[in-house]
Amino acid sequence: MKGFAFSLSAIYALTIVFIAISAAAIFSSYTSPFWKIDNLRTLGRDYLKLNAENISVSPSQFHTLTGFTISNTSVGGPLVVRAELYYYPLLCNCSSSCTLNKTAADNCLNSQEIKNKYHFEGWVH
Amino acid sequence: MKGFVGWIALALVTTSLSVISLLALSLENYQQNNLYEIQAAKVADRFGDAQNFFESTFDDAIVDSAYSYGGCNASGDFCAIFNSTLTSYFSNSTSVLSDNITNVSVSSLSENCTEVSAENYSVSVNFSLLVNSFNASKSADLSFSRNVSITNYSAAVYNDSTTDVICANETLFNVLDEKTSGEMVANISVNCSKPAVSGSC
Repeated sequence: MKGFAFSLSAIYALTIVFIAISAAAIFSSYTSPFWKIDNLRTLGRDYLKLNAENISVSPSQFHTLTGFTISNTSVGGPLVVRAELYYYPLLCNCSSSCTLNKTAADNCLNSQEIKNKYHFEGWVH
Repeated sequence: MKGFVGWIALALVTTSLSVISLLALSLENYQQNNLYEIQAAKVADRFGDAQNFFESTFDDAIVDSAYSYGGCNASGDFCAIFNSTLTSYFSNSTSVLSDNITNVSVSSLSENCTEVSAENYSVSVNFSLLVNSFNASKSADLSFSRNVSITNYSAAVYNDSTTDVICANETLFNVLDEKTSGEMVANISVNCSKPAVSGSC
């Protein structure tokens, strides 16, 4: 044992242990957040798009389906992702053929539809 | 021999310290790359949104121009109205799609409007779309085409000698906006409810 302590093999062993411990110390404090952020953002955008297309999904349904929580207002927390969507409003709110009276036509056909809501946000966590 | 082992030990310690430094450096780069990936994903999202947004802007310009041309207060020429409306609407859409982090811009905008037969038009737009953020950008040349049919509004006509005889019924304004594949995008009619006018049968 006394001979081993000063041998080249012992120095090799010490070096390997040193590298292993240092690497573990560095990486144990860090996990990649990208995939989490990307997945939460995608889920949030799907939720926003469904609602923008008048397919109603409530925050509680979102929670049931995904296990995550979505809020229409900004919230704090260790991992909260802001999802946003730009979605052009339906022309004259018509999803198929429609007939309008003059008042309704003047309201929607004399100016661009973006006077209505087109920007949607949600905070997923 | 003891001196030789000492040099070996020094070399190994130096090597291991270098390895640790490289690991730390690569971790920093990894974090930086994560940030770039997040920015790139956000730019890609905005680009997809913008692409759909401008296509709808194009359709909005078509139906609004058609109404201005053949609706309740009809006037002018459809293609002339469409050209100016589209430019204005694209400018507005560009503004609302940009924020202080992500910039959306349109260049090389050109529109084409041709009357292929009476009140039937072939309409298209070509443009370059660029979306960029601090470290990411995405661009593409885009083109949208539509076939547009317009029916002008006309009030009913009654016989001026016998007011209860209708010579022609009221015709509603209609704009039919279709993709070149035949898929309907918009089919909007308007009843202007104007009083019947005097005429002869």
